[in-house]
Amino acid sequence: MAQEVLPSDYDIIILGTGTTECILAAAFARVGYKVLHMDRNDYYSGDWATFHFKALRDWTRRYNQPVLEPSFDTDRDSLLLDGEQLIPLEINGTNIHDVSEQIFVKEKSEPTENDAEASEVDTESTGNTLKQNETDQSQEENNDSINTDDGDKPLMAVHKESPDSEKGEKTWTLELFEEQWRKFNIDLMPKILYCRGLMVELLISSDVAKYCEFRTVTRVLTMIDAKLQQVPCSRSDVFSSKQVSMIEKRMLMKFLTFAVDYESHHEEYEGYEDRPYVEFLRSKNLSPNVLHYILHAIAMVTEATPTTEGLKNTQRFLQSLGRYGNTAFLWPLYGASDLLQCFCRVQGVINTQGQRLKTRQITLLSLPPPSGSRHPITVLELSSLSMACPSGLYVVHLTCETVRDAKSDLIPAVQSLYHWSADGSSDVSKPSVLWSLFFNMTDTREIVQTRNLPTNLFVVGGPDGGLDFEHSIDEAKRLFQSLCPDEEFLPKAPNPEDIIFDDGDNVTNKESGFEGESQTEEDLNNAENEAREAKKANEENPDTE
Amino acid sequence: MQQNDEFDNEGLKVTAELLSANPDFYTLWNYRRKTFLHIKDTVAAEELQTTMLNELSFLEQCLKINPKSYGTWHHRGWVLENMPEPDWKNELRLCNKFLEFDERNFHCWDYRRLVVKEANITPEEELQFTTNKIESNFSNYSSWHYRSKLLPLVYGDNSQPTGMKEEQLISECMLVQNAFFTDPSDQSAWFYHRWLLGRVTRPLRLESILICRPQGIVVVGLSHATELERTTKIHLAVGETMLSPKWRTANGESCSTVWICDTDVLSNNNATMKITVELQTSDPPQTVELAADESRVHWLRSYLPGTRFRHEISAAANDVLTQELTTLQQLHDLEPENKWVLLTVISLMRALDPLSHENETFDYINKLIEVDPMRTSYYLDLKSKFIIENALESRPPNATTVDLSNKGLTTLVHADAMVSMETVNLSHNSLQCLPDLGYLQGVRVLNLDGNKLSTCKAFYCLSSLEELSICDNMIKHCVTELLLLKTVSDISTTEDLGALKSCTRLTRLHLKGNPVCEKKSDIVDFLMSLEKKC
Repeated sequence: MAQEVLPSDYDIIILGTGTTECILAAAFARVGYKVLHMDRNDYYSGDWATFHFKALRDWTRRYNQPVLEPSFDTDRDSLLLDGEQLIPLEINGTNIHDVSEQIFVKEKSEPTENDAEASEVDTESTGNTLKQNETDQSQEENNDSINTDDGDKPLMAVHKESPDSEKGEKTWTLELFEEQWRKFNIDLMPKILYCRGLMVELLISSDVAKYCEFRTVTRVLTMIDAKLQQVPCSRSDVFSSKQVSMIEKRMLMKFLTFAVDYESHHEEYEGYEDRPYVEFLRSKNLSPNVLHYILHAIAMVTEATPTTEGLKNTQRFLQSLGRYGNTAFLWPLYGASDLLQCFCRVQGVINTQGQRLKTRQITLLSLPPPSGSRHPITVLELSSLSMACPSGLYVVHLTCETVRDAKSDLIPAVQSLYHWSADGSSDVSKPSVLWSLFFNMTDTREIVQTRNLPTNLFVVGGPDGGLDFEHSIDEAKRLFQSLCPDEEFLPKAPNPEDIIFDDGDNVTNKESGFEGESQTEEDLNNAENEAREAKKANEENPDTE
Repeated sequence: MQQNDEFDNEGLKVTAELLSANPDFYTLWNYRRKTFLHIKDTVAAEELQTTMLNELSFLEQCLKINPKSYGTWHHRGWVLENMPEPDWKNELRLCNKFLEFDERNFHCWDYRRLVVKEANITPEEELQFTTNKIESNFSNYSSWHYRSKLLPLVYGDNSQPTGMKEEQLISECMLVQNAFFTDPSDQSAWFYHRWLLGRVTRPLRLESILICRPQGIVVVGLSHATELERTTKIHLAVGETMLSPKWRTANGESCSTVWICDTDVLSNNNATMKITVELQTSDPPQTVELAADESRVHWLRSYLPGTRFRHEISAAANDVLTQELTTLQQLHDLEPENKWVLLTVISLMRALDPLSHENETFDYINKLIEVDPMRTSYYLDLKSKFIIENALESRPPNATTVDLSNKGLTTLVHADAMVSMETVNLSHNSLQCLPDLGYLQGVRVLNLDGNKLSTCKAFYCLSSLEELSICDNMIKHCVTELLLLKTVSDISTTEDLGALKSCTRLTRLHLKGNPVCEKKSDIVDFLMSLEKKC
C-alpha cells in the first residue's frame, strides 16, 4: 500500500494527527472533500500520542539528545512552481522539554550491572512504581507514573485493603516491563471525556462512537486533612455515603440541584459573579467538607476561580452524571491517541459496536495547586483494565500548570500519594513508584502567528491542560465552519442498512458521503481488519511509516 | 389450529414469529403451552429439556424486545415449572440482569418472587439485594415494598408493636432518613417511612353502646367497619332473654362501624333492664343497665388521654418517634417548604401527643396549604379531623355535649365516636355535606347554623332528634325532599322511611336564612305535614 503512487490533487492537506487535525480530516472527508492526512512522526497523534513502553522510552531518549537542524540534500527552491511558496515547519519536538526518566526497579530479577545506556536513567533499585510528565507554555506539567502492587489493589487506597496475596509477591523489573511492553498504553496528554461533553456529543452525532471503547471513571477522590476520601457526587453516592452527615447530605444535594440549573436562579448568586467561587460557596453556609467537595472535586477549580466559572464547571460535571452509569467521565480505552484514530477511520464502515464497560477502578483526583500556581494538579490513576498497563500495575498521570519544571512542581504531590524511594525501602501504607517520567510540554493553544501565512494555510494548537478535548473540538469546528460555512460538521455516516447491494456486488449508496469506491460488505470488513492490522504492525515496527 | 388439534413444530414456528412482533397476544402463548403439553407426552425427558431450553432462549429474546409483557413473564414461569430440570438459579441471574437495566420493572420483580421461592433463596439474601438496589437508586417503590415484605421475615419480633425488632426498626429509619435528606421530594422514601412507623390493627371489638327506650333502639359502635353476618354477629340479650333482632345501618350501607336494631322489648315497659351486647368474637360482652323510668343509657370504651385515635398513626415506641421528630424538625429547618417533611412532622406530633402539639400542628397545616395550594381541601379536611379528635379527647369521658362551633370544619369525621352525644354544636363551620351524620343516633339538639349545607339528606335517620337548627345555610329544596319522602312513606316501608319515622321526634326546626324561606307556602305545608305525622 505504501508503494502505491498517491494522487497529486487534494482539496485539503492536513499535517499532523493531533486532535484538531484528526477531527478536521474526518469532517472534511465526510462531506466529500478529498483529504490527504500526513504526519511526519512515525507514530500517530504527535504530542497527543499514546505509547507502549518501548516507544515511550524511545521518545524519552529522543528528547534527551540534541535537536538537529534538518538538512536537505536537494535545492528546495528548485522544486517550487510558480505561485508556490515554501513554508518550513517548526523543528519537530520543540514543545517538549525537561524530559526525565527515573527507574526504581532492578534491571533484571538478578542484580546486574547497570547498562547506563542513557544519562537520565538511573537504575537505582527495587521499589514499586513508574512516573512520567509534561508541560506547556501557559505552563503545564504532566507526570505519569506507574505503580505496582500485587494483585489489583488500587494504588490510592481509600480504604486500606489487605494486600492481595493471590498472585504472590511479584517483583517487577525493567526486564519484566519490557517483556510486556505492548500492554502499556501511556498517554503523553491523558484525556477523560465528560459524559455530556463536546467530545462525547461529537462521537455520537458523527457516529464515530461505534469505533471506540470506553470505561467509566469509577470514582472521584479528594484529599481532606491529608486523607483521601471518595467524593459523593451523584444522588446515589450522597444517599450511600457514610462520610457525610444527614444535614450535609441535604446541603450538598440542595446545592447540586441548584447548580445543575444555576442560570435560571440568578438571584442566588447575584453580586458574586466575578467574585471568587469560594466566597459564594461560603455564603451558602455549607459545611467545610461539602464546600471542599464542590470546589475541589466537582468543579475542580481553585479558590480564586470566579463564581460564574465555578458554577459552569459544577454544572458541566453534574450534567455528565448518570448518562453512562454512576459517573461523570469516560476513559477512552487504549488511550487518547486511539480515540483520535477513530476519526481517521471515518471513511470505513465498521460493524463493531461502541461499548461501555464496567471498570475495576479508574480514579480521578484533583489536588491543590503547587506553590506559585493557581491551577490544581489533576491526578488520573488507571488500572490494567483501562488497557494502560499490564495487570498488577497502575499508571498514574499527574498534570498541572508549570511553575518551575515538571519534577519540582509535582514531586510533593507524588510523595504525598506514593512511596517514592530510590533506596528500595518499602512503605506498606503507600503504593510504591516503580518507574517515572517527568516532562514539560508547551501549551500551544494560543498560537501566535508570527509570520505572514498564505490565506489557505491554517495553524492549529496542540494539547491543552484541560480534562476533556473541548478546546480542540471548538477549534476544529470553528475552522471547519469558516472554510465550509454551508456544510454540516461531522454528520452521521449513512446507515449500512441503507446501502443497497445489487446483483453485481456493487454497492450503491442511497445517501452521499461515500464517493468513489464501491465495496461489498466483506470488503469493508476487510478494510477494517486491514486498518487494525496495519495499526498493530505499526505498533510493533514503528519505523515502517 | 387449536380446533384441529394441530400442535406441532410448525405451529411453534408461526406463533414464535407472531409473538416476536407482539408478545401480548396471550392466545398464542396458550397455544404454545398446549403444544408443549402435547410434546411432553410424546418425547423423552432429554428432548423435552432441550425443547424447553430453546423456549427459554426464545423468551429471553422476547423479553429483550419488550421487558414489560405480562404474557412473556408468565409463560417463562410456566416453562420453568414444566421442564424436567429447571435451573432456577439461572433465572435469578436473569432477574438481576433485567433489574439492572430497569430497577422499576415490576413484571420482573413479580417474576423474581416466584424464582426466589423455587430457588430457595433466603429472605436475608433478598433483603441484601433490595439494599443494593436502593443504594443505586432509592426512587424505587418496588425495592422499598419488597423490603417491607422481607423485614418481618428476617427481623420479625411479635413482642414489638411494629412486629419488627426495634434495633432493625431504628436502622431502617436511618436508611430512609438518608433517602429523604438526599432528596426530600422523593415520595417512595416517605411512603416507606410511613409504613415503617406502622399502625396498630385493633381487634374487632365494641366501642360504644347506646340504648334509647322511647325509640326502641339499641345502637352499637364497633372498632372498625364490619359487614355483619359475614364476619361476625352481635348477640343481644335483655335480662336472660336472647333476642334475635335484625341489625341495620344508619344509612343503609352493608358495611359500617355503627349498627342499629329496633326492638319492641324496650319500649313496651318502663322496668329496669339489663341489656347485654356481645360480639361473636373473643371480645368480652358488655352489659348496661337501663334503670326504671330512664329513657336512655350508654356505655363507652375508655381510653387513656391522647390514645383514642393514635392507632391510626403509629405503632412505634415513643422514643423512636421522638428521635424521628427531632430529625424531621432539622430537615424542616433546612427545607421549610417541603410538604412531605411537614406532613411527617405533623403525623409524628399526632402520634406522640396530639393535645400539647395542637397549635404547632395547625401552624404546619396552614404552611402546607401555603406551599401546596392544590391540595387545600385535603389539608382542611385533615385539620378538621385533628380538631374533632382533640375535641373528643379533651372532653370528660361521659359528657353528652360536644361543641365544635367556629372551628373551620370542612368535614365531619369520627361521627361514629359521637353515637351517645345528646347535644352537638357544629355551627359556623364550612360543612357542605354530612354523610356520616346518621351515626348520631343519640342526638337530641343539633346545631348546624352558618354552614354550607344545600340539602337535608343527612337528617333522615336521626331517631332522637328533637331540635334542629340549620339557619344561614344554602338549603333550597329540603322541604320538597322531605315532603316527597313523606308521601312515599304511605306506600312503602324502606329503611330510609323508617328513619324518617324516627325523625318525627323533631319538634323545633330553625330554617331562617336559607333560600327555601322565600317559599313560605311550602314551609307551611311542610310543618303541617310534620304535625299530622306526630
